[in-house]
Amino acid sequence: MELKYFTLCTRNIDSEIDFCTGKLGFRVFKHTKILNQRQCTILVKDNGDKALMLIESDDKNKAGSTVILNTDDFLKDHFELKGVGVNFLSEPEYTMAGIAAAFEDPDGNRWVLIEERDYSAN
Amino acid sequence: MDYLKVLRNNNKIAYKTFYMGTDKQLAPDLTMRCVFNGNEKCSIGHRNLLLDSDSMLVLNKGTQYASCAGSEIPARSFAISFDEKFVADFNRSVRLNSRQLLDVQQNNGTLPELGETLYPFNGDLKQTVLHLKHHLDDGLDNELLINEYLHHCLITYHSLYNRQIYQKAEQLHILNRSTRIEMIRRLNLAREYLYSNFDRTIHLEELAENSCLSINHLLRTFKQAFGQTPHQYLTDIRLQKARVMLKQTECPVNEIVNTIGFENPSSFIRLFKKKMNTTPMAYRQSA
Repeated sequence: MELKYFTLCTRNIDSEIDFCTGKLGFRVFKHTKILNQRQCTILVKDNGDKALMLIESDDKNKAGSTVILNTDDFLKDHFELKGVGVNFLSEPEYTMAGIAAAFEDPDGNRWVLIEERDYSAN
Repeated sequence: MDYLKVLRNNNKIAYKTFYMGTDKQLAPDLTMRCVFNGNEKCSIGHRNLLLDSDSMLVLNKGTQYASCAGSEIPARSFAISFDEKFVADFNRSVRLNSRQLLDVQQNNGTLPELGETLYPFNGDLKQTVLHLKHHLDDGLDNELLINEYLHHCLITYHSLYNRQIYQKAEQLHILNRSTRIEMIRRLNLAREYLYSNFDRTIHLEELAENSCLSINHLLRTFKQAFGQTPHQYLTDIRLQKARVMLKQTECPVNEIVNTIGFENPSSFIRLFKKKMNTTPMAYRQSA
């Protein structure tokens, strides 16, 4: 067994697809159906082997999920995301794991952009 | 390839190859210097500093210094000079978020002169500089993005300054602020002397003389500030150099021992094991 998809529930799958493809650089891999014939869309990034599965939620009050985006150059990606209109919730923060900042998609899901750093050699 | 990039806001980034000849320069603004190949000897007045891949030198605006390659290998130095207004803007943003720094910084609105010394070049500051250099080597021209990296160089330097200078000064058992600042300045002379001469035997007398302190005063205040004796501090510097050499080179352990100034391999292995809980060879294999 292996981990196949990260799922992200959304109340409006079309706007979520627009956000992920237009601002975050994902592309639509396929539209499909899973359990209970629920419509979902699989998104991939060209530089990664992980896939994101968007599932339309029937719960209109569902709380947002959190997705972690790893980068090898936080400042560059942070700069580019701000350039395409992504609103970060706070300034970049230096943490024990690396440098990170969070933003929200239009549906209220939380995304964390992080550049993990190995400080053990210090 | 060497380059000099002058941004529209007058921040400057220079990548330059140094050979054996001495190059006299004036720091145009607050400047960070590091080397990516070989090492560099820098002289500031009577201070002779060794800049290698593990260290970074911060120079104040207007400091005159001379530099040359520290060995037969040409030194490739990377220097960032921050325009005064850029630093002032940064200081203003810091003051809005924090009241932690020494009064000298609070009063004149610039990063304090005490910051002019050698620092360990690692962690977030090194990562930021490496990313920036990588992009500049590839021809990055977007000044907004370059300035973003430079802003984060200052953020991470500010944090480093707090850890290396401010917090150490706070640990001194000296009530008078100006005396405390003068003492940490002298202790920094001792610290940078250890960093610059780690590869040879250093006597306490010369260390004390170099930092303008008596031996007793040096020993007492150094321990207060850094939590270690100068000898322990020097051993840590040497072990850190050894870790880098073990991971990044294929030098035999005996050669590393000679290079970093340990008297013999057995004392090196014993101290390494005590510090790292593993042997030098096992550490190298785990890299």
